[in-house]
Amino acid sequence: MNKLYSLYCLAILVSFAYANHKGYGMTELVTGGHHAGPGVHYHK
Amino acid sequence: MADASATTPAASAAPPAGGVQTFACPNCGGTIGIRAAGLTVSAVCEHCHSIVGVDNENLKIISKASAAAVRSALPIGGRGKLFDVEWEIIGFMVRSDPTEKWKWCEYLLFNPWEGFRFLVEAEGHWNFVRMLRRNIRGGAGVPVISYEDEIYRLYVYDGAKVLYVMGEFYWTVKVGEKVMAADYIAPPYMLSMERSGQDIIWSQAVYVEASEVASAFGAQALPGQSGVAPDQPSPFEPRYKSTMMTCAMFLVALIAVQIAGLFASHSQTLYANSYMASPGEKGQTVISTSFTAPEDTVNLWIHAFAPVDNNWLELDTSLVNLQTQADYGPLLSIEYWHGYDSDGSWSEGSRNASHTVGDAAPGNYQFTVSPDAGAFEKGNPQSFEIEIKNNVPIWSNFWISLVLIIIWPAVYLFRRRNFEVQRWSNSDYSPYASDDDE
Repeated sequence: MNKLYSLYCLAILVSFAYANHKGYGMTELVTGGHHAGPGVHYHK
Repeated sequence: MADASATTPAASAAPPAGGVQTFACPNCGGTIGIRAAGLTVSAVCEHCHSIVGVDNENLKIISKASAAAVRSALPIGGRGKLFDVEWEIIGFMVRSDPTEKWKWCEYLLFNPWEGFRFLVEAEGHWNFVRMLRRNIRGGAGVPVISYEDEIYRLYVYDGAKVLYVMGEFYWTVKVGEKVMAADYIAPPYMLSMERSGQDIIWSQAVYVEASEVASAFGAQALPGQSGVAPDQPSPFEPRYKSTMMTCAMFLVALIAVQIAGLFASHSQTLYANSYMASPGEKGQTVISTSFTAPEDTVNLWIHAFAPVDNNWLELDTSLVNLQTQADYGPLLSIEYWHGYDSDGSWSEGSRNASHTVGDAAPGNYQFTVSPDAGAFEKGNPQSFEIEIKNNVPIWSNFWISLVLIIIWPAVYLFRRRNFEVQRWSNSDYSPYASDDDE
């Protein structure tokens, strides 16, 4: 088993499962997600 | 190479030191030393480079060589341990293809208990060669042969000639002697056939790292390596299968997680409406409504559609969670353009726009929409539709993960293939020939 590649794939799979669980896009996980505050408009 | 018949099965041990028989060269009178006395058939005088037949007491000159001395990387008389046997170098020859463009060096090794072997160096790559005592089908340009459960592919089928000799040999060696040769490869092994008249000799080579040769014979400097040797083991081969297996395993896991997610998520429409906005409503709140996101909500998906035609629509939305006062409303931009030019028809943009709010909390939401549209500038109304759903599957996650998992083995395969292309670059029988031509 290629350990480094296995760890890499495992990290992707966990990120994928977490993003799906949270309803995020994975790119939002990387950028920290869009946690809008009160009265804050984003994408403007 | 010629057939080595002088082998005596016995314990592998170092040859006795100093067992050199000497005689005078019939050409120059210089001393010629014989290390494999009784087995050596011809020897080269190191003083005048004449090749002398030494198979009986009547020494005769086979040829008066005039070639300038070639310095071998490993010295005649040098000893080294390879494959748990100590070998002594007793002969050295330089050979080439008929054009003399491709040259290689062959060292004849001798151990009194093991017999003869060859150490062959080409482009800084080394092979340890033993003669086979059996004939193998093929060798006349047959593309593939099988030997000891290995499939060997034809690499080269060409003439070979002797350019230079030094030391002693167990056959009558001649400078300029030509044979037909074929090499078949199954890295790290190579099968070689040499045919001279009716005589066919097969030998099997195994690739040896240069560092191993240097260490065995105590060589300070060996010829520099270039390119990939025909039977050089690929550094990508050992992990090839495990990488592919790992890739397949995680792809199955990824698909399983995605399918499980699709079955587990309960998506429902929380709000849907269509509206015809007039120019006077530009920037005004035309929709103001509230809805409740159920407890299992993890995300909200806001989708807008407008039948714009070479026009645009912007919907400034507000989506406020009434418990937390967090506003998730995006600016949804719709524009769709199309037409004809010299290249034919074209179109760009879309009549749809959507936005997904991740990690959306369940609870009550207030949703408002304020439109602005290109149609308003001409005094025309603009219709649009709005839909809000929860728990929508995010397929981009699946595709991003898929690409990330595949990209590693893809790069691995690319590098592995490049290595093989390089290996076959000197062969007329390359399976990558069409790629090389590109």
